Amino acid sequence: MPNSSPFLPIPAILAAVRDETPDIKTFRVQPRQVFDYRPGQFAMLSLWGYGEAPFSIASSRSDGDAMEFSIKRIGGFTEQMHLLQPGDEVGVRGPFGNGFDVEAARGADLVFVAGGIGLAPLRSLIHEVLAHRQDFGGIVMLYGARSPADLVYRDELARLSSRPDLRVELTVDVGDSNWTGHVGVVPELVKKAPEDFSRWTAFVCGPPIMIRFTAQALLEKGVQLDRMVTTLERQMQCGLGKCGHCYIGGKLVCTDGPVFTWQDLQNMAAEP
Amino acid sequence: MQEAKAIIPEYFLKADDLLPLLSALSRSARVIAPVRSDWGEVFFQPLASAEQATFDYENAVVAPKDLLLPQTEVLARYRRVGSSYQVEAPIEEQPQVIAGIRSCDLCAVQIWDEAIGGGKYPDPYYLARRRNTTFISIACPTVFEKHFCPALEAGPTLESGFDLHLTAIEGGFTAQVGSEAGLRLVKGQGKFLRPVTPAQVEQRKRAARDSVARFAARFDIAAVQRTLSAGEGVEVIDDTAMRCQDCGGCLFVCPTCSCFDVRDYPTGADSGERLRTWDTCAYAGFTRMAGGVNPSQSRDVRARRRLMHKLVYRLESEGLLGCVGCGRCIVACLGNIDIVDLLERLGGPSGHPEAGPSGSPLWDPEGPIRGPEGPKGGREGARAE
Repeated sequence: MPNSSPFLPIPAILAAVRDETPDIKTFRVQPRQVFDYRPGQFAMLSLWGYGEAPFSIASSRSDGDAMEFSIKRIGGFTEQMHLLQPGDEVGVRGPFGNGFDVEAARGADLVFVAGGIGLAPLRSLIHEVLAHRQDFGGIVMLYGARSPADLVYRDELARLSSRPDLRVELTVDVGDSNWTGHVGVVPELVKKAPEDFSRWTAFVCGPPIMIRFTAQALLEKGVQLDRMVTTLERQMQCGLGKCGHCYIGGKLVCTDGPVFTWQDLQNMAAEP
Repeated sequence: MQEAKAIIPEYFLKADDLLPLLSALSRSARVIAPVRSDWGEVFFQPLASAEQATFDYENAVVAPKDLLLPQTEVLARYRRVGSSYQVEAPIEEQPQVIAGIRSCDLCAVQIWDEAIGGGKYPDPYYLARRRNTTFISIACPTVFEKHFCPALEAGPTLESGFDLHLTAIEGGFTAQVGSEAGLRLVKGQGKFLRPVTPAQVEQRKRAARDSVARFAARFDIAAVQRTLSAGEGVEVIDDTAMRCQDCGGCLFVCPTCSCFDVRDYPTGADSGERLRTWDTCAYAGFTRMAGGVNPSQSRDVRARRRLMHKLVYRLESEGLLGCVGCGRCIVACLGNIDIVDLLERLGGPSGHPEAGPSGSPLWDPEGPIRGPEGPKGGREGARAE
């Protein structure tokens, strides 16, 4: 019997660590073996002695061999992650989950709506889409956070905002003296948008309450149930469809998800 | 567990040969069997000698599930070497024979074969134990008190899905072979297994019929499923939630429950183990995420989640019901939750008059002769002839 187990992570090296906000860092991870993944999939990150936790992959294969994870310091494991330096070793298992259906989105107009750290999983798809920009129609990106300091990927957002082939709108719950953009919650950006979203495909990710109100706003704008896509977060211990923690409405978020359409969620009688 | 579609080879095992058979098997495998404790209860224990085993029992306090998925097991050992780690996964190959397992508990193993041994990522720790395990199951002579396996087609005896299946008849047991593992066992121990006579086969069939004769089902599982799937039965769920003490006892003793937690435990400054331990969805923390968001915070949400998983979703995902009617959760519950009461309220006689009069005892010695009614879905071959 070979001594192999899907519970054993692949060793990986932290190639870079970048501060995003006071409590979010982006980790550039270089696995020692080929790690092929699709936008919207996730990985279990492992720190021996501290355990494992699931994280969205925030990069796309079009970005190169290394992958990025944006991680908010919010518990014991993420506390340890935030102490790591470039050159340190971590473990990765995966990729897990279904990921976004990029093929189905090809040719369509796309609206990305994110709140806080929820931009991380959408970023994998945004990078993929922008790497093949000509394959897609209109692109709108609506993103908000609690304050200007809590917005992630600010340099990247500035670059994207200056592109003529997509529209980016940012909002914050509470502004500061330098903030000249929108103030208010993310669903307000959806309501204010001039586009007729009825035939668009929407990708929504953020805190559960943000997803619910955003979905409501998008539905009111005519987005179809099966064209509103979200990615769920649940406690997970394995990523393999075994541990039972991420069970929801007859599905396992780790293997059946984490990406579900609003239609899926209705069929599952489940909420984000 | 392999389904035997062909004619099942059948033998006769003399009563006096059962313990010698276990003795003989213990020369090449660890033999586990029901052993009565000093307090009179029965537990599955590795035998030091065959004489410790008892087959005069109802069921063990706990199913032998820890022999396939230990309550705690090491998934990986790690040791820091320089700036990197040396890691190994200890996957053991140890032959074992589990004798005396009841039909219900064996049905639970069938669920595990799908849920843990199957799927997109078959679990190698489980599969190593599973392929090294041979079951000698034994039919129950009757549906014992607090048991309700016939209503779920999980006993009291089986027609397929076993390795070697014993049914008590005059002077001993019929021994039916239902898998390759069972066939290997029989080939290796041929001297204990005699040709079965047609009369003995008839006795076995009669024993199977008699074992369910006094059982009256108080609910129809299909009706239960309809109620739950429609989001109804709110008052029953609320009542369950009110009684639940969050102890998880019902799920730790449940032979079908297989949820687990994974944690690291240091064994030294630079070394440690990644352990898997049983976990239960009765705990509020089961679904709580870092930062405090918890989609199953309240007890009623957890109670419905639990029932839906066992009674509806497992049938969809694994093709088998997640309850086998062993009744252990009734005994374990601190809050007096009785799953049979619960099932009766969710799918009992009001919608299904054939399920028996309301309030009728689960096991009624004077009751009408009545077996399970209609297609319950999923557990093919589990019903008595």
